[in-house]
Amino acid sequence: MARGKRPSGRRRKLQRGFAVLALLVVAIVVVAVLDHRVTAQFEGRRWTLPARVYAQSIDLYVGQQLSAERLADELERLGYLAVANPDRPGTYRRRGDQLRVYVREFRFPDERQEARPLKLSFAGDMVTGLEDATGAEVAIVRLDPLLIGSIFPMHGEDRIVVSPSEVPPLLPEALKAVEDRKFDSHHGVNPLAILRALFVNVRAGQIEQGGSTLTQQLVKSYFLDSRRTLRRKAEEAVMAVILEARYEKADIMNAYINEIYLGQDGRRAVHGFGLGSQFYFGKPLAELDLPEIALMVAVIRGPSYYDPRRQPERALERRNLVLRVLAEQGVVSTEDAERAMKKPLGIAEAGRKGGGFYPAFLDLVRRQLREDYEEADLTESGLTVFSTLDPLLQGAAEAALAGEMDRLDRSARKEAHGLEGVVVVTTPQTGEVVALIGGRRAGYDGFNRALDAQRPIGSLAKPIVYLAALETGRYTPATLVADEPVDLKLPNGDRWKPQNFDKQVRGQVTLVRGLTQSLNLATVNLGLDVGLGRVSQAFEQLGLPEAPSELPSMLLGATNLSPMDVAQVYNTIANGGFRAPLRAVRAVIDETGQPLKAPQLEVSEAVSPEAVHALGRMMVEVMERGTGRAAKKQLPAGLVVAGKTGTSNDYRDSWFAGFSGSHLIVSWVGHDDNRPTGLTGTTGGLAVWSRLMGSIPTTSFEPLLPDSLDLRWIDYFSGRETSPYCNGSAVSMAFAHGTRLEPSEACPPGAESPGADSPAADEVGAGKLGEAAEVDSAAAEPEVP
Amino acid sequence: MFRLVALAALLAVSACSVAPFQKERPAPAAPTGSTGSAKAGEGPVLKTPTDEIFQPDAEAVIETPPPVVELPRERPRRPPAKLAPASRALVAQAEAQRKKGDLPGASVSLDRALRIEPNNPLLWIEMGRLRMDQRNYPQAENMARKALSMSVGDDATQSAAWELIGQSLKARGRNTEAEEAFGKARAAAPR
Repeated sequence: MARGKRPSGRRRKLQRGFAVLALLVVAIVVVAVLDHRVTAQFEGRRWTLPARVYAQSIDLYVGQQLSAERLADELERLGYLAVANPDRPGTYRRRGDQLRVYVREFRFPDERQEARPLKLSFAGDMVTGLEDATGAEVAIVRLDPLLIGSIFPMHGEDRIVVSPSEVPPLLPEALKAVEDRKFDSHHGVNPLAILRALFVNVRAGQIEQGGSTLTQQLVKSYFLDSRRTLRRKAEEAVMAVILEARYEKADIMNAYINEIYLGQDGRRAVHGFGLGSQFYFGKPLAELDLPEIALMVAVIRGPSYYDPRRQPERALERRNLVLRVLAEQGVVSTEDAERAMKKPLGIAEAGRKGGGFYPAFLDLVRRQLREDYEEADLTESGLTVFSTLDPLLQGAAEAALAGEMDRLDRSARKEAHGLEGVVVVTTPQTGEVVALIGGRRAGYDGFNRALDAQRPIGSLAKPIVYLAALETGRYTPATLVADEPVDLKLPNGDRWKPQNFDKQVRGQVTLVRGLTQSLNLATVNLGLDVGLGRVSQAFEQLGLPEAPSELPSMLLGATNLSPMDVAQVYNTIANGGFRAPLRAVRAVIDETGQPLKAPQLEVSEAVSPEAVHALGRMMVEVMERGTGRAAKKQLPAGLVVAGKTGTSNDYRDSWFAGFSGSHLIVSWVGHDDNRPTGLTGTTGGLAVWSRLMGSIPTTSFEPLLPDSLDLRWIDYFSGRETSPYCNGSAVSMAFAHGTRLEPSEACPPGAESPGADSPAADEVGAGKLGEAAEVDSAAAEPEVP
Repeated sequence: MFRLVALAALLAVSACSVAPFQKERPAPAAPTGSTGSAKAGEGPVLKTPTDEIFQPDAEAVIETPPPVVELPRERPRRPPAKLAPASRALVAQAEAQRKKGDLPGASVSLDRALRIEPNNPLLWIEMGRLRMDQRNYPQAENMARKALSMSVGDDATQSAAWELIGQSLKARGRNTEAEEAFGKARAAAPR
């Protein structure tokens, strides 16, 4: 036994030696692996930055239509602070019609605009003076734009990286005081703190030093893993020591500030204080004051437990604890801490919480960028995207849709409850999408109806039929077409017998009347005469990616289109026949400020400007006396607009597409499951449209008359040339030079009898004034083959 | 954005004598009795919850005699288009950027100007000149054509637009058409 012990003891020693060696090797390998992983993360983090998307920036200039009050609102939205003396960036002061603002520095796509103080004076709704600190006049200056979101990758992390110079000095001090008092001296782990964390019972509501150093928390955040095993803890500790050995304290602190998880916004995880500041306060990190910094530090421990929006009391209590600790540790004076404790949380309302609130629009931006960029470029390489979104218009569009949907929810009609809606707003001349709502819950990141819902457009097809007719040169607005029964045998053998909304027939009607009253039979007869091929081609010329099938039911809008498709088609009409591809992006720059590829403003003459002009005047009549005239009550007096209602079979879709001189709005209302809504284009889509058009500053639709056209008065019913002074149904329409028009007998052109006491008696007949109701084409029920 | 558009449009309208779409009724044209009653009996869309849906609203009745304006008998002439001070500053900035070869920067400046005055033909001509620099000749022509459509009756602007069309055609080797365009530019040029 004893004999055998010695050699075995030696062997054991040897074995022990081997074991130690093996362990050492394993340890070296493990450390090397961990070293590789953690340094790769630390270094690589700088390169995974989601593209930041900004709304359009507000230009300030003399002569601008903008009140001091509106500008103050805009500044609040941008997180500017109202102060007595605006002496630092991000502050302003308004005194009646005088406004002083210290505009923030911002890197625009063409240049960096330095922070500068400005003085503005107003007279009513107009900017009358704009000067800098020295009193010198400034021609035009940009406000920093609103951050509306980021294109973050599927795992959902989003952040705005800040450099140390953008970090208020108080923040690192506060972090150290609350989370890691030995940060400046330890080597990544703090054994004492770990021991204390093990033994000290952390009582609720009392701030105790956690076991983890800031470095350990950083490592933990890099390798987000919910498992709380001892092995993970050990790995984290080793990686923390490695980081400390390799990098400066300042770099680690900066990494922490950009890395730590601070809250959740739907699918998006808010990381880092840069985005956290936008998310909670709607302003840059550098502008945060003591209570705001204290709140962010407070939130670190449990972003959902201390969520300032959902758990305001809890968050407030913990913020004040943080403030007390800061005073105890001498980071701030007791007086400052006490003053800060009296402040409210100051959380920004949802509308300006640093983006993530315009999912439908951001989706469009992302899709347009995908034409030129790889997904990884967008989610990782720190691009800055300047979009076309106008937050003010977007807000107005959201309010208009929500208001109308709520009203319908309360209406007696069950079918109209729980509807969905879409709104697209563009500026016709430049084709910029300035607002986009993909569903009733505008902030909800779900099915993007504006882009992906394909719905029959109903009578929205009619203007295109009339445009195709005018383009042939064989028709004028005064030409008569037959509003008479149609009975077609379709290629598949089915019969197609569309009807007018009111099941009436009217005989011969003018083109302008056919469109104004949305007469199905007149439109079908016209379209068949013009040719389905020409109508289909007109759709394509106006901007559809492909021409719709040449079926007769196309004339009454059996074609399925998305609201964005409709917006493209109508934008070309609103733009005088010039097609401008709709775009949501104006410029893209890389991390260094270099401009990159972005969709540019383009226009091309798509259809005859003369035909579009004549059509535009007919579409104005729709709003004056036709299916769109209910809008008038909601619009400012004298505002000229043009548009068209659309309703699909059985009232499943309620559309309106129309424009002023500076805005095109397309609205759609319907059910996702395609149930009937009980709404015509007039009651659903038009109601949303007119609420919105009536609530935004816009201009009249008044295109210049092309040289080759003349304006002439015709009788709305007979199409005969007449005088407005004795004919109550005279409308002024555009005609090519030398167009022959039959003169009216009772009230010929040139008749000047202002004040005449009887209306024209011939063609019109007063009896027709009370003509039966006609709404939209819906009831026609084109049997789609 | 749209803030100055209103102002710009106002200026544009006051500068031109083309009959606007909005028809204003001269005082003497008295409405007839029948139309007055038609108006009173009509059912609007958004009145009460019961009549808001399925209410056939859109009778195309002539509610009131149409407002009357005299249609112009002669083609109106208009004074040359002008830039508002803010867009003038931006055009100057774009010019400076183009000289430095910073074409994307110039594009940003002109985009801003177009947001202020989308209906100013001079800005479309500037945009077309930038497209020439970018060697996007078809778009240069298209911008000029857009300028033509918004400067009817303004000889100076029409001339500048035709000049740009000529340059664009020439750059693409379409010399005959280019000469034709230059001819139109000369013919339109105010003396």
